[in-house]
Amino acid sequence: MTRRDSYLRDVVLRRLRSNPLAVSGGIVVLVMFLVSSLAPVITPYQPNTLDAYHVLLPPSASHWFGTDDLGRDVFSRMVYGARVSLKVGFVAVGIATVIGTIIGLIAGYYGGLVDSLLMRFVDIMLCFPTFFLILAIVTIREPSILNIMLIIGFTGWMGVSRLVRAEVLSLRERDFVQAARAMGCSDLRIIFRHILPNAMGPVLVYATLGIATAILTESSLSFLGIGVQPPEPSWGNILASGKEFLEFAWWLFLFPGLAITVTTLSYYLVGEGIRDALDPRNVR
Amino acid sequence: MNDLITATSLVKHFPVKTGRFGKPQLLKAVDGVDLRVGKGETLGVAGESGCGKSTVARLLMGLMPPTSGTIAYEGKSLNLMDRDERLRFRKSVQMIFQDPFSSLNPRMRVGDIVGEPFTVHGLAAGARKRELVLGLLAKVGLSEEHFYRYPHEFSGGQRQRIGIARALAVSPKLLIADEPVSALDISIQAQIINLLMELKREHGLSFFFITHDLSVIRHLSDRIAIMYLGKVVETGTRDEVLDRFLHPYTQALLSAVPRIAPDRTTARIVLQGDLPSPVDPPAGCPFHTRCPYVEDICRTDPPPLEEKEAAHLAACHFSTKLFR
Repeated sequence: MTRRDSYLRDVVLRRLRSNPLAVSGGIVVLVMFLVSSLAPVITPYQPNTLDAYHVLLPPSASHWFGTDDLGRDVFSRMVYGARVSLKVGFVAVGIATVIGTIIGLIAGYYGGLVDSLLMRFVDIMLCFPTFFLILAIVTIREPSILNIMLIIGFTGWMGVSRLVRAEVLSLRERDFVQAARAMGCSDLRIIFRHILPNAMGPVLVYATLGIATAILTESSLSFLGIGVQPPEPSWGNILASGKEFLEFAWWLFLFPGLAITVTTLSYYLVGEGIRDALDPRNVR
Repeated sequence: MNDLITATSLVKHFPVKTGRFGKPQLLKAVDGVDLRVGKGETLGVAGESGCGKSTVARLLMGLMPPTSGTIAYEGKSLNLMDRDERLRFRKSVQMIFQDPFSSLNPRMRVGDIVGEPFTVHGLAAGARKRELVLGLLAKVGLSEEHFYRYPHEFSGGQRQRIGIARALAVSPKLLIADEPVSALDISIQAQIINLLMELKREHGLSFFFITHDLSVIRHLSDRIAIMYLGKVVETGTRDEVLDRFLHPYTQALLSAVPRIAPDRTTARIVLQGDLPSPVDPPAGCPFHTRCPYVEDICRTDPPPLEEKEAAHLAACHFSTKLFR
């Protein structure tokens, strides 16, 4: 009578903790969170302060990651860039996951014509090469962080909806769902109490991996100059500003490049870890 | 007898696609079945895999609509029920499933699984609900410490007990049991069967008990229906069907039951071939492709299920000639 803690606290976290790869990924993700929330405290310089006397300095004790062509401190800019990446990653994936889950649940549970219509709509959406769709929309709308998040979110839900639909299709035939129907549960109760919790594992994994993709997309857009607009820092546009000084200013592309890679990889490891930990049959 | 649930000319066809451009064909899972279960009575339904037993169970539960035919609960047809009546029907008829590993929601605690019917029907909440759930768990032989556990922490037999506790929560009158013991070890089977019989005595439950194990059916049933390829081929009281059978398929099934002290007055009848496809059932008697006594008329004329003796129906042209 003492085991009142939830399934998440009880089982999943314990399993997650015993997975060294997931733990290291989780630590990186946590550090990124801390760094971006404490950005004003830990940055030695203002991210946008120009300093004409200290341009393109290599890393040193006073400028850990060196300075860029306008004398701005690269470390400070990257810390603020982490904020952008996190915000874009979470909000965009949040939008995509909510839309995708709802559409997938409806299509999978009700089936028939509703399912056909929704899935054909998904097919249509998937026909657009997402990146070029984003390029096109950004040239019409002004490129701002908000718009980038919305666009990545609204073009990224199709995978989630297919995933959720497939889960629902198999779950709704399972005996415990039949039992719930036999019991007289309403559709809403069956969907949210019996189907959704059992479909959340893969969705959570997909969302975690999606954050990595969203961060990559934002970086690519910013690198191409149509994402986050300078002087506001983002890992993508710091990288872009370094490309003209490729031969001698290695710190301008090494650090943002590493940040993007390590962050993406970390979300990936965490996602895989959650997938293993969520599986009730996976007793370690 | 006072009928609790009756099925009349029940038919369920599933469309199946054969090949990409093939015409959609019909799988005749249930093809004209009449059944009834009286109050306090146990109807045992037997037949080999794929004969439509489980489909009949799901139809009776109202989990899918029949292609044609009617199901009536206490004289009221299921598809004529309004919302309230349907909810009452849901409280009166519950199901026990075959696979104890898929019949419990893996993300819910045992206490919540067994307590959910109380919430859905607004019967109890909070401490009262907890008390009722603990009472149910005790009734099926589980204890208080199991309340906060997850299904995956239990063995198959224990899970089946949880499923039974859930089914009992709404105090049903009829339990539909779809091979409730065939996924369990032999020793556990006996425990579960004894539990079910105890509950039957205690609550005056009716049972619709599906199995392919005739020794189980002899133990439990008042009446028996034997199904073959979507049809009932023989039905009657337990002793009539098992000891004075009137259908060659029943004879074959019974000859396959292992005996501890074989009297060997009847040789084992091994049926040739497989169950014909329910997509393309044979003309005439559905059993003629495998029947050891087949004659010409069996290949053309389907025998009706008719009363051969008092309260004993069989669908065979030669019942009396063969077995009396």
